[in-house]
Amino acid sequence: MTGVPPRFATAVLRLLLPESVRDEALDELRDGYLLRVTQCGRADANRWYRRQVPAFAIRVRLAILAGGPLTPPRTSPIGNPALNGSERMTTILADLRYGARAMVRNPMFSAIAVLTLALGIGANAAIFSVVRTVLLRPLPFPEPDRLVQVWESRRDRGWNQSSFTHANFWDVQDMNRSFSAMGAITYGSINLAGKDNPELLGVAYVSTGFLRALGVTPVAGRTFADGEDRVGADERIVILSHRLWSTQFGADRSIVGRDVTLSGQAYHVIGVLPPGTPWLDAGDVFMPLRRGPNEDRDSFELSAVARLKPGVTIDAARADLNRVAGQLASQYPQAKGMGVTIEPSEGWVASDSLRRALWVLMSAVGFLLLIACVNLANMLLARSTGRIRERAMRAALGATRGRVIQTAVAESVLLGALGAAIGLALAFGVVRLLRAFDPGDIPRLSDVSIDGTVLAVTLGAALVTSIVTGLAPAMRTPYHDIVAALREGERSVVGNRRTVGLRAALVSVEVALSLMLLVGAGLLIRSFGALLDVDRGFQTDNRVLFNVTLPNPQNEADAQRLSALRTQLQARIAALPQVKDVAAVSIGPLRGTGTGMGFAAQDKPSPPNDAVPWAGWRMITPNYFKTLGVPIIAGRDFNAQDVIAKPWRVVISHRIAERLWPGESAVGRQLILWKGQQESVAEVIGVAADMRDWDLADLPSYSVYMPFNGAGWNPSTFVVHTTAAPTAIVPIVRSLLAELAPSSPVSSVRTLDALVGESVAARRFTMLMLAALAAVALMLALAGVYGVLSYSVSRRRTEIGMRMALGASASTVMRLIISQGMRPVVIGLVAGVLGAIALSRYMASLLFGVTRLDAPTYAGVAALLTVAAVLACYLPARDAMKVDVLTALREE
Amino acid sequence: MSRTALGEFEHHVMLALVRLGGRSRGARIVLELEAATGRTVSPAAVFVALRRLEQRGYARSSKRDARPGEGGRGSREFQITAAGKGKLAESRRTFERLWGTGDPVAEPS
Repeated sequence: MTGVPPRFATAVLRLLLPESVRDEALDELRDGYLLRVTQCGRADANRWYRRQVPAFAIRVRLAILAGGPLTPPRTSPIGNPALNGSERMTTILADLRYGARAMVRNPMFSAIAVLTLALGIGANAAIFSVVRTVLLRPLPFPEPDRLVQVWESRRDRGWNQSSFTHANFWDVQDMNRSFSAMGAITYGSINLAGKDNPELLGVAYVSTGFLRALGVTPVAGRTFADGEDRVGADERIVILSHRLWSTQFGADRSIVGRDVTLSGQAYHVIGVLPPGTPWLDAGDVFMPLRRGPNEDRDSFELSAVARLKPGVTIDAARADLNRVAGQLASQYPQAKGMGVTIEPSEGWVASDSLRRALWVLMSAVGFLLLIACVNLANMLLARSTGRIRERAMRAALGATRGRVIQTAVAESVLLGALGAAIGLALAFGVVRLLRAFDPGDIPRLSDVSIDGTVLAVTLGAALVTSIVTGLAPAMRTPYHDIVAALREGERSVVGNRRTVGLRAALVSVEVALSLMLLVGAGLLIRSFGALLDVDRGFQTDNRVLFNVTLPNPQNEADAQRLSALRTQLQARIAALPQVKDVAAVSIGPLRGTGTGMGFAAQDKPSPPNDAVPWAGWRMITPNYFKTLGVPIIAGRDFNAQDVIAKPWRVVISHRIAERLWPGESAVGRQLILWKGQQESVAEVIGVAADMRDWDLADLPSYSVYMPFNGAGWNPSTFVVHTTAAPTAIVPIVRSLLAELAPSSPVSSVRTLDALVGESVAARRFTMLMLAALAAVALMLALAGVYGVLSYSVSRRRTEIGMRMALGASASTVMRLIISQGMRPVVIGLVAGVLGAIALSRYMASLLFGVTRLDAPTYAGVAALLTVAAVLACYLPARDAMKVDVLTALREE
Repeated sequence: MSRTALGEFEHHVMLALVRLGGRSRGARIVLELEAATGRTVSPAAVFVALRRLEQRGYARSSKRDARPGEGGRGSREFQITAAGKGKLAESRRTFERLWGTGDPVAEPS
């Protein structure tokens, strides 16, 4: 053995050297010794070594006396005081490699950790991408913060927001000082003669200021010029929507300047709009809204938008417009009580309830990510307790706290990166799924995608998540008592009690969070059930609805012809063998909102204007109620002789009868229609049972039914009750219609079942999403409960063995373990219920038929969580049962 | 000029560090200096000088794992820092300015 310098000299030197440099000095001298052995031989080296001993001791002692200790600048033996960039990079790479090795060594742990993170991150990326596209992406108009929507208000009638009347709109447009442009829009329809079947197009009639106010730049051609809304200007001009231009005209720019045939007339195409929502997709074609000479102030039809002049605030505009409204109100009796409401353009894309639903979902995925983090921190903590000896060893070997933390964080960052990658893949899948299950009324859903921002936010979330979760265990390196940690290792008392406490607290947090999610999901599920169970009033099975658009009437004779055609078509459909009943209606059930009317009883004291109730009205053919399976409670249905003419005759819904003539017969009474407007009097000939025919979530409507017979209304919605397969009737109807009125389209074919489904689609969407998130959260929380308990059971094997050796029965031990595991769960349940009570307030507007404090939901969710948690506790408890007394005792 | 100029021995040690390149142990430096100066060099002097240089930021050290067969805990390895290189360059410039061009002390032959 050549490697050992003279022992005696070494021993002397050891005595002489100060402790701080003893080891290093001995190492260095031995180093020199070994080099000399190879160069000059052992004897020379021995001599050299012995000579150095006193010199070395004296020099080092002197140096320390003169210039202070010889230890490196900072106290760490390894930690280089000034790692340069590339060296820091090297240590980080080394730590990442170390982390990767740790992951591979424990594949099950790593898989669960990565999956947990992936679920949290994926759900967040998916929902965030929806929120971003639907709520956060700006409107497709320049300077959207200057855009506002303007409404009329009529305080005397209690209306805060109503559509504009024509005359009031034009006057406000002319008299205001706040807007750089203002425009109005209203809707109609027109036929496009197509290749096979004629197509019904939606028309948006807009004033010339409308597109200017929005700041729309056409894709081709121009928008409307000033004066093109005057009577006498060229009426046959049209701007195409981007959708129609793409689908019907092959996105051909040369269409501008050419003519298209709409309802048999040639229209000159002057421009093409850009794609987008809202407003730009309000119609398939845009035509000028004409300003007539004698507009009225009594029919509320126009939606108005405006662009504030630079520097004008909404409040200033409000004051200015109310000045205008005040002038109009004093000038025109019909404008009595007029005011103006202005709203910013924020709500244009998503309705309040959709915004609410999306924010609820966004918070839910936030909760889910939090649960995933807590779970991961818990897992890392459990493992770090197992690896406490390893970290104590590193600390003993000179790793600084910073390095230990860096190593631990590198490992969790690695987990986070993998989790983010898989989470993003998940998010792509979820987004595709969302688009496939488009509930129909989420605007821009087809535009949703995982873009750069979503990517950046996701990666940011993953990074923060993994650093935070990695820090928790790293901070628990027992620097204060390395020796104890080294000696006792995993069984070390140092920090363990605190770690167990921390992990139990994390379990409580998880349980609380998932209980809140489950309560939210439960409330939505119960709302949805209530909505489907609600008494709709009408039957849906084997009923199909479709619109028939007959040639638009130009005069009274045309109107009569249209009405006669409708009657003929109804008769022909009724004659088909598979048809039980058929009727036509001006606006079908669950088909958007119609206009309303105030109503009152003529034989009762008239209520003040602002207390007049408001009813929806429909024109119906005879047999409408029978077709929908709605009973006539009193009086009679319309017959072929009832027409829409004086003397007015109406059928009313049961709620109107109950409101106006409670406990009395309504049939034969006089009802004032359009109370506060033009006020006509009609005789009530029948009372029909109530329907929820506008929105299932609303109360049954106040409905006034008038005869369709004699009305030139277009299009008509036909309702057909068939013996089977209702949509099979539609081709037959098309051929019948082709005989009666060629080039009249059949459109918007839907079964009534489908309409009911569509009307609740948004709710179903929110409900399913939240339920899925809550289920995942529940799983993660249970995994947390299980993990903590099974770890603590494994730690207590000796104690359990001892108890059993001393005669504890299996059931006693079982009860002990389960009660220990359930303690943090119960704490979490209590906290979760309190949290849910507090947070449910934000969901109140999404609920139907249940209150936000619905006791069965809370109790059911708590019970579900309790049972699941007991199960999660049972497994480790069962393992504890299997402890062999002797083995357990011997282990100590 | 920074606070203190390099002592001659420190100067030698740093130059040896540079010449050896990378990381070197004290014993290697001792041998290097002995080879360059032809005199015996005290390992204790090198030991102290390296640690003082490290304290002044001109060198840095790391602990090397013990190689199989060597025993012991492994000794410390030193390396020059950027500041150390700068200090050397500064010393050299000072010397060059003092020497000037030509050979002011050349003895007439």
